[in-house]
Amino acid sequence: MAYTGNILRVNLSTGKAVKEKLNENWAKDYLGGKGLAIKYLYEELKPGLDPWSEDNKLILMTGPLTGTIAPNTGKLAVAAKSPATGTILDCSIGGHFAPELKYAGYDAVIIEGKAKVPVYLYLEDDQLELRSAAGLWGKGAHETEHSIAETLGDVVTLAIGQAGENLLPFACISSELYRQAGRGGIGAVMGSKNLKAISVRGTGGLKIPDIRKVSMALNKIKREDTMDEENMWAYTDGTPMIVELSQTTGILPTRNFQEGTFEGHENVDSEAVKGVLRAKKACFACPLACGNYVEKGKSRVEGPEYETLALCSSNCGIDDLEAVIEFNRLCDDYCLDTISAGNAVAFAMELTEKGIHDFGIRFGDIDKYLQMPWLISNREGIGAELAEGVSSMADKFGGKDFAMHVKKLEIPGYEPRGSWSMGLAYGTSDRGACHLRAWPAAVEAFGDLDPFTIEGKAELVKDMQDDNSVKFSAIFCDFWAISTGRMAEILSIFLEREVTAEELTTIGERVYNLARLFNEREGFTRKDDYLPRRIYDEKLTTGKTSGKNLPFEEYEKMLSEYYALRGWDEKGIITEAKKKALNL
Amino acid sequence: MQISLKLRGPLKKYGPGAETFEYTVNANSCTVRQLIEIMNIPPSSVSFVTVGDKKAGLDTLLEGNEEVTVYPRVAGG
Repeated sequence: MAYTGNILRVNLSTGKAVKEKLNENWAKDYLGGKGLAIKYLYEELKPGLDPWSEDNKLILMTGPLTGTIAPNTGKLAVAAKSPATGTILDCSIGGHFAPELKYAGYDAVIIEGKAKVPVYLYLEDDQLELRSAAGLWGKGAHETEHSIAETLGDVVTLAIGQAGENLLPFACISSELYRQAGRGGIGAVMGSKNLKAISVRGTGGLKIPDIRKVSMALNKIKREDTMDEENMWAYTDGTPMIVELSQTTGILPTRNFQEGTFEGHENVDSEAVKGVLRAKKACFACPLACGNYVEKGKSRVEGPEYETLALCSSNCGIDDLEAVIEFNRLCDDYCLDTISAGNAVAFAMELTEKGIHDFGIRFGDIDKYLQMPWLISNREGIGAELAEGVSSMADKFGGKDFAMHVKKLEIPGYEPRGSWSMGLAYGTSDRGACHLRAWPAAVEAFGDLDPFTIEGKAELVKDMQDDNSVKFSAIFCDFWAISTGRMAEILSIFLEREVTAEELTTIGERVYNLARLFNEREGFTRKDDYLPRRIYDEKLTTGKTSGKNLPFEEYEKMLSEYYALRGWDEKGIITEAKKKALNL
Repeated sequence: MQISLKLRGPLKKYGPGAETFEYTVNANSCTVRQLIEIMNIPPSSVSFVTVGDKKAGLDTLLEGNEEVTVYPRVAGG
């Protein structure tokens, strides 16, 4: 009952689709979501493949619990080889697409090839249509979704905006207007296939043998372990609460990571966001409803989330909440990842202020800032340069030491000089700088651990990466602080066999190593696991992190210790013994 | 002594209803840990406490007239 057992494989070059059986052995070893999507890509993509080529594949993968009433299981994994980094790329998107796909009868859709002209997919149960997207091409994701809904009625849609069409390496995929599969250019993979949108309607359901028993068990878990004090922050505040935590601990990226505190933080923190809150929104099967619908002046959006507040507010020196809300809305419509977009704008601001290259935009310049989403998405004016991301900008204009990225993916909203474990988490993340593979800041900078030591950090990061890998493969929302024991309990109900926490930890480790193996095959090694020099060489000067850097030699030691714990050699290559132990 | 107390997010329920309020402790001083105990807030629900605008440890001594904010645990990022 957990899986439908079906995968839909669509080839856009030929216009043909086939229904095939889910590989059950792989599902056992990788569960679903992140892990299973990576397994299919590892087996099916040729090493060295150009991610822009039509041979790249886009995978939409559900999990074994998708579509059930198990709490916080409504997300969808979207995966491909990243055009931004050349690494493996898996993203996660909330809303209602994933359960709808399951009700249509599929665990996954694998999209191959490239359409000759712009199209969108319409899937209803066993019926698939490739429809012309000629009238939608050039439109934002918001208009695209509305337009498709007018034509097809009650469907759930994944769409791209201008950024995806124009092949930006940080174009995202949008759904229900304000939910995104955000990072690594996943929207550009859709754009490269001339695929504007995917709409689904499922009229089927999932069979659960003893619904009364299952409901009672899940309601108990929901009461005791989901809607409790450890998780209800998501409802009462949502991620904007983290602005205050980051500001207090000196890890709020400010003016392109030149500082870790922002003098205008009170204008964009959780209190400020709550002041303009109009409604809450939840994904499918979620009792936490972290989404904040806000409205200020003429601007409205679902958000802004912490990452947007950090990268597009403090990091750009903008403390006007209305401007940040509008910037957020524009990015969502054109489908720009706000983490990378905020970084690119901030980098241009610093290059200008330092006199390295004049982009004509400076920190705090709201008028120019609000022009950026359109210019970047359409590669117009200075947007044509920013559209390539900070790594490419640094190659062309200089400023390499403060181009804030790892493996060409821009750094999220936690300053590593005030959270040394976050530095390691960014360096060893499978898709470039990412805070979702491990978020050790929660127990270090925000918790009881000393943020300015490497002691114990390698193990902390490794364990969190493994836990999150299985969490994103079973597909539980990141915002539910769920233990592997609880995951095992819920999976046991739906997989109808005893699943243990130990088994899940091994799956998590297997998934993380398979992602590394994919990257290793693409030529990634230790040399790629480093941070920008600013983090090692420049000391912060304000707040709790004043006088702090992350010394290079400390980072080196932490990285070596991490490799040893992982069973990788000094170059970061997975040993044969580790591969064998994990059945890779 | 009096403390200006702010209980954030779901921790609000341990106060009188408002998120920010004045709270009287029947002592001349107490630690952050003792304050949390007096308020009946389970320590496992707390991620973070600030006194003024600085992060405080559980053993930080309070002597009255401080602004104390207690944050819940957060996940994800």
